[in-house]
Amino acid sequence: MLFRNEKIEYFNKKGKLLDPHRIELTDKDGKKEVVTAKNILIATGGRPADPEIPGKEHSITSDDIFWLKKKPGKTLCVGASYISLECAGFLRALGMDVTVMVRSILLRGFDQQIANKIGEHLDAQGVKFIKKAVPISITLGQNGQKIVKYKQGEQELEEVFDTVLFAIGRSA
Amino acid sequence: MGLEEVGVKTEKNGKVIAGDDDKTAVPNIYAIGDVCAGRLELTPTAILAGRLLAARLFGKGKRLMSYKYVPTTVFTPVEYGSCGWSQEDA
Repeated sequence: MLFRNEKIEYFNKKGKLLDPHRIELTDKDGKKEVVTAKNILIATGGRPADPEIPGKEHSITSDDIFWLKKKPGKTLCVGASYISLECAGFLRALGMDVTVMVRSILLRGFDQQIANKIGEHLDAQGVKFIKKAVPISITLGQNGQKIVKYKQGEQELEEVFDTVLFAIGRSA
Repeated sequence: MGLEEVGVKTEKNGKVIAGDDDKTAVPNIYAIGDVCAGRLELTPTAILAGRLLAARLFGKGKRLMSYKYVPTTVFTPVEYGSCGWSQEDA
């Protein structure tokens, strides 16, 4: 292992800072030890942000989509980030019925002329868009289907999906 | 992780606030990559930031990571690559 060759100590344990120089490490059996360091680097990455709506436990994220045991079927991708649009794109290419729910604009931060071209291309591929809309809740229907209530303008609407994927940003 | 307790500042979404030198609010604690607030969430930038930080910490350089003009891409069915400013920002 490269780490060992370079004389780097490696701990596969959960770390908690006790003070600016001491870290408590807990292994999978709950056994604890404390290590010290002059400098500490936090590089724990990010994960998909959780939605804050009732029934969010019936939804999945872009991390989960690659581990499904069965095909997602009719899928709602919530968000217009590149993660949401990328998932919508490949799910549609795999033959799924795909809808993207967009709160305001596609690909915020990217050139909007190009972002809208990407939207038009997805649309031409058969991806449906629900624009200026936000989800309100998810409840379970027959055969585990997800009933998504959402607000579009002043209207409250609902639609049934097999899979609801949230891609509304990442947090740490 | 006990970040707040030792004085590391974080945002509401849990991301760590670090300066251009990757230092957090605690001078000997650094943060790089996706865990940092307001950074590009890209693997190559995180790798380079880590290399430059290691060089600075061990006296082999002074360069700071630059997040200006980082090329990126969107892997939608019609793929899109960009570098620099969007028309809106320009």
